[in-house]
Amino acid sequence: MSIESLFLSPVYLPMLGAALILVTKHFFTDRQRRVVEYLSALIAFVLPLIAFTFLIQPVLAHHQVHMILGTWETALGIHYHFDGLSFLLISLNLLISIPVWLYSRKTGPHQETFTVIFLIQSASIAATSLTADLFNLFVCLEVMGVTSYVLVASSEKDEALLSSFTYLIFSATAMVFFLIGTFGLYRISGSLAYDTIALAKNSLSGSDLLVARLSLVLIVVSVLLRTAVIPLSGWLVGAHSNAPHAVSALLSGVLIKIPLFALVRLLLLVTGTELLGSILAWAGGISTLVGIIMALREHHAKRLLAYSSVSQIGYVVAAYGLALASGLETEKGALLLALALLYSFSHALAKATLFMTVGRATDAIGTKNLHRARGALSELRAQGERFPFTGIAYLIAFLSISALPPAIGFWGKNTLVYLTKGHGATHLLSITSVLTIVAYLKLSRIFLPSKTTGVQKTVSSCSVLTNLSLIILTSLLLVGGIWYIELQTFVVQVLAPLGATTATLTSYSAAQDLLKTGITLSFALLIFFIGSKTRFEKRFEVRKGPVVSFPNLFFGFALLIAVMAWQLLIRGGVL
Amino acid sequence: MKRTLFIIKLIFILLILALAIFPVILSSHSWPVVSRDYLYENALSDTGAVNTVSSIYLGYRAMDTLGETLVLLVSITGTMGILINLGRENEEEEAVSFSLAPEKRATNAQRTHLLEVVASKLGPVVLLFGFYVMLYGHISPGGGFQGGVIVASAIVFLALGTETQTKLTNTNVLGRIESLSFLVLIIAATSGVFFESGFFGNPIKSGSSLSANFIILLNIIIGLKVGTSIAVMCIAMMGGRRGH
Amino acid sequence: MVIERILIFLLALVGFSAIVGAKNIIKKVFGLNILNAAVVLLYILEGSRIGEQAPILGEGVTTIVDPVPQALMLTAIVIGVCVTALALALAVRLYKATGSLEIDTISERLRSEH
Repeated sequence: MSIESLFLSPVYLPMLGAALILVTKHFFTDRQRRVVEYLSALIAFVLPLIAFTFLIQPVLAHHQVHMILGTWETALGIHYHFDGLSFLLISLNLLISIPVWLYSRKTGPHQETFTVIFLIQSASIAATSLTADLFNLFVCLEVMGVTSYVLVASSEKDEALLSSFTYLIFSATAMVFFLIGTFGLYRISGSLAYDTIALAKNSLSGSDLLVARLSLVLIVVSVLLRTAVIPLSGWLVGAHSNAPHAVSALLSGVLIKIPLFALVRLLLLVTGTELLGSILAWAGGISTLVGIIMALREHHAKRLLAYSSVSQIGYVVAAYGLALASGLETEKGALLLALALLYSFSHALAKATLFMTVGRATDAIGTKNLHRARGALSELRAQGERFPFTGIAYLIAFLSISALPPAIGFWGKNTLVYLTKGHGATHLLSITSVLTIVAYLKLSRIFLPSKTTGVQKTVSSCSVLTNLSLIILTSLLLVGGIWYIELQTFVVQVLAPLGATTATLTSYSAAQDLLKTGITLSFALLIFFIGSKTRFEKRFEVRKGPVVSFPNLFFGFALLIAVMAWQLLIRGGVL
Repeated sequence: MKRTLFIIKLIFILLILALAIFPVILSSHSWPVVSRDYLYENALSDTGAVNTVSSIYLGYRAMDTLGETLVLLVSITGTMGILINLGRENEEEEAVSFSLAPEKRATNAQRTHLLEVVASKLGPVVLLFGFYVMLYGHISPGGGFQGGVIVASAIVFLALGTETQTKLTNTNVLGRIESLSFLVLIIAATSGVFFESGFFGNPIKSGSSLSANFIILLNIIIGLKVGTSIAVMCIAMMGGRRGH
Repeated sequence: MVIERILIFLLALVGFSAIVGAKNIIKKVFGLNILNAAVVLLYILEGSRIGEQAPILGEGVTTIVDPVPQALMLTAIVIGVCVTALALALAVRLYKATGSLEIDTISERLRSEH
């Protein structure tokens, strides 16, 4: 087996699995199709995971492969680049996709074609992480987008249709601007491969540089839309809260992070991204704060989780922006990028677990309203859950996302905030840490014992597969927390070829922050009790769901373009 | 007040986007000739296709085409899923089958004798033309996607024009062809990985006198896939298949 | 030489303003298509500046246009059509659910269901 066939396996094996399911759907009985679905999932997720264990060694040895698909000897072909970054992104996708798929067997969308679309999405995520070609990035993002519109719309609710439609129009329009950006860059470089584009762009001046920078801004903003950083996050809440639980878990966990890191490959090569990084850091900082405040104002369980995703992705974007701002060749920049990736990993695990457990609990109770939903544990027991898997998984995910020991999030958030010190956006991150705990304490009330016994009879969602998926995610959260230092060293070393080859971990240990965590926690508890005992909470909350307004969505889009273009052109010295 | 705010927002958005794309669209940089010159020299010997456009999208950049096929597959599955859910509400209503005898059809089936006569005569000709476009994609403008769409319209013509349901308008048969051609496409794409020609490389380069063999093969597979899947969707929209 | 591109630019703006400003969701889908078509025209037009003949090699063919934008747009057109199909299917469902095609009315009726 060549190394190409190993690292391309997450691209072609899911497609093969999808094709197999389609064939059995048309040629065999329903029963056989279900068997083949399991087989295909095995092919699509487990085989690449095994292939990736063979790749740990080469990746640790900083082995990189830059290839052109199909052995053409010209820059016209599609360039794929395999290194530590794509290794980590694909592993993240595989590790989250397996539990999500297992969970979807019992609760998820029951359409025949769900698994087919799910597998195609997985393939597109892998391709996005590998590609080093601008137009191929466009195609991969479109595949990713179309699969998520369909998955969101696969919910039975009518609101999901509107959310899917909003998401579709917004991101399809942005992708047209991506094409205009591609046009500008192709015109100046005559190529679509990142390295050729960067080479051509870095030697430009005058009006050509203006065109190149504007094209770059269009591309970056269109890709950031998928990441849902604050001025662009209007579509996320509807899409993620109305989708089926399993889909929400995947969208919030994996899909919003992949495009951001896929962009690194291009941004690393072109010069003048420091200003861009600084804007991203501010956008990330503002996202964290606005996202969590919106979450606090929400009384709908899944919308609270969705707003919290906006807030959490802000941490990732802030660290990512600061990494770009200080340059990846510096030690700090390299470390920050590694931490951004690690934090997105920890958030993916926690948020997937939260969506699954909260989805299961609110289904059992029969309402998603946080003021009425109580007694999830007893309801779940009444439906046949003998051991409280849901409650325990929720508790650990809660600890992780609120940055409390021993879960992975504690280390992740504290190291991240420590490293971002010195930039204005850090203060926003610190305030958010307190508010995040308050928001999740509010959400946790659904597990409080209820005064009235429920009469709601819903279909039981307890099954071996669901429990298994929760066990996998929970143990990953705990294992990541216990061996965090080793994990961090591994990630830093794997990412080393991207920037500073000498980047070593500073001797920071988050354990020193235990005291600070204690203070944060007590502040949070104080706010929570004041809020819940007084009438302040009710007055603070919004009554109805968010309104869809296209002018507002595109206002954010235009605003970010304006800010970025202003910074790059005026401060970057073109105009 | 609300109206004014809306107009201000609209003007702001349009102004910013116009300012951002105007310089890009009106860039005075001369168009690069490097790819064109390379293709002019080498495309024929590399891929065997006279049509350089098809040597790009089925040769050099075949991965894009695969992605495009995936988008088509997902959007057709999604569209069918969304529309079939719609039919579930009025389950008792007999589905409108265009292959039923005229008196059995529901009244809303908009079919006239004129349509039937024209469509049934036109169908075979269009079908033949579709296969021509598909098979000659490597030497003339055309290819799998274009040919496939023409084949799909021919199938729709036949479905509209014939009283009895033939194999060609049976969604089960079409679905089988679609799924098989998708499987063959994926196998053709991945087999290169194991034959040292790389992902989407040409695994059958040697061993054939026809130089554009791989492009012809891909054109046929993609044409069948596109044609059958669009035909299935159109037939489903006309009510030819009942929801699950 | 510039006038075509200014027309394309205006076409793109027409499409974009329909997406942002139109109340009717079908008009939004139309706007998306117009915007898409403007970009396709832009690529094809600019790619054809460097030659006179269609990019099909053969006897006497010397100055072909750049085939790369044509191949790229082939992909972009198909993707655009797929997205349109999906958007229209969603629009049909939204109409069945709420009885309206106006985005504000749809949003209002879906919210008041709860």
